[in-house]
Amino acid sequence: MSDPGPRSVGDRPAEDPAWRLSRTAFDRFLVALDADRDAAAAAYERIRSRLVKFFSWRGCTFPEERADETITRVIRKIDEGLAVRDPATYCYGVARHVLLETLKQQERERDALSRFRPAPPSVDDDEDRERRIECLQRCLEQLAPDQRELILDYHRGDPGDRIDGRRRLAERLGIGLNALRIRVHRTTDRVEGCVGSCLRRRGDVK
Amino acid sequence: MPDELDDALLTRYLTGACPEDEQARIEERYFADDATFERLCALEDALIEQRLDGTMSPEQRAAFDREHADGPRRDRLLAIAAMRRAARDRRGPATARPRRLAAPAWMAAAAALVLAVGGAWLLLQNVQLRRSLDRARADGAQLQQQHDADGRRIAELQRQRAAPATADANPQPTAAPPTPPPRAVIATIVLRPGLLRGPQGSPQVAIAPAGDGVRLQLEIDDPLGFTAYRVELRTAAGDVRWTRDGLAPSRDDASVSVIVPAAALQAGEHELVLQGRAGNGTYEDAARYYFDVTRR
Repeated sequence: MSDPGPRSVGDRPAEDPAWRLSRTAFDRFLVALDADRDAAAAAYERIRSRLVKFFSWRGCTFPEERADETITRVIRKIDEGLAVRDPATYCYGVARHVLLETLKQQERERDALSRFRPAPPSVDDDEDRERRIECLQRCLEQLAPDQRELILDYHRGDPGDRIDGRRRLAERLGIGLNALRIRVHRTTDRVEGCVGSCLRRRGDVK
Repeated sequence: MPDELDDALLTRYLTGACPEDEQARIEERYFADDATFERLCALEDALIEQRLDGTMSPEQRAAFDREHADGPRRDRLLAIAAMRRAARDRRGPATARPRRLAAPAWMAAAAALVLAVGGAWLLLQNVQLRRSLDRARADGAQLQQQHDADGRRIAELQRQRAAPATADANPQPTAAPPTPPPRAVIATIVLRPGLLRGPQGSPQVAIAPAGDGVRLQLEIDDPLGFTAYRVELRTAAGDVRWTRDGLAPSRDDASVSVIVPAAALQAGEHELVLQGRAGNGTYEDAARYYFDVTRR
């Protein structure tokens, strides 16, 4: 079986209801990404990060779950014998189908909720805030000292001073400004992901 | 490959202002091209910083706020706001050795997150508040009548006070011994931004007859990092009754205090708009507060 194009295969798989994600199926997917295991792992991370951003930028509530759902569908197709020429592009095509399903689902949920009067802020909001604070504290502490220093230096100063400060910071690190921005973006991703995991562990986010 | 994806286009993508075909073009590109993806990531954070600095155009800000009202993009905004606050509260030179943040800085960062979470909730609350205010405006005619009547009464009293010559024509009771000016009576009211009208209604501010005004402590739920604020007091009908510039936030940046003179307050519902001074010197709305004034 060959790749018929991503936009025609994104529907939720229904051929084999007994299919489950397995180690073997995942390994096949990695091989499709790259014959070299390390390169395949890097490609996997690269695709997943794009999927997470794609769902986030398109307004999905839980982008990581949607990204994982997309990858699972692609793994299944490959496990069933589909030859995928360009996994990144194929994943994007499947992601568009997942996006449509997600947006429809979110719309249905909004409609259902709109039939009820919105609940006023309650004690739960305060509790949620406290839990977020604790998680943020923990996550910032978990950063490596140089990463924490990078974040704090990057955000120091008033808007006018900040530009020069960042230029100096980039020079000190021996990188360009764009590279600095990307580095900070990735560190922020880590903090954000850490806070999300922390909240999920505590049962605050499903 | 020629780079036809300029920052303006990518910004439109990130603020949900691109048509579907352009969205698809950008997405196909960033799934295939690392540089485009990284540009978008950096631009995403830059937009958040522009919002925090208050340097966005009103149109951009409206689109941005719509996209960041909830979900993961709101979380990103909160994370960057908290990091900024942590950076701002940290003392010492930029080249200091890596070190563990002191507890107060952590607390400040945490407080920033609390405030930011509240701020995001307030985006939603404000919509409901607007509806509440609209309902109040329906009573505007009645309030205006009351205001006009009060105005006529005050004008009459002022005429009587300013024209002693008329005393002969209108005999008054024997003048009492000189009395000291009314002692300042300043009540302090703590207001939370965008507080919904609950079962007890809006916060009540009672003005004593001898009161000079009321001290309002305006809690800030939105850590936008302003160093100066101004307030604008409006009636339910939206008329600006009084303004005050150059207000500094409290040391913990959690509130702004302002004394509103009694003369600026009329009976009825009021809206107080807190505006923060952005880096470019312009003011932008930071929070809104609602309260009812009663005169004793």
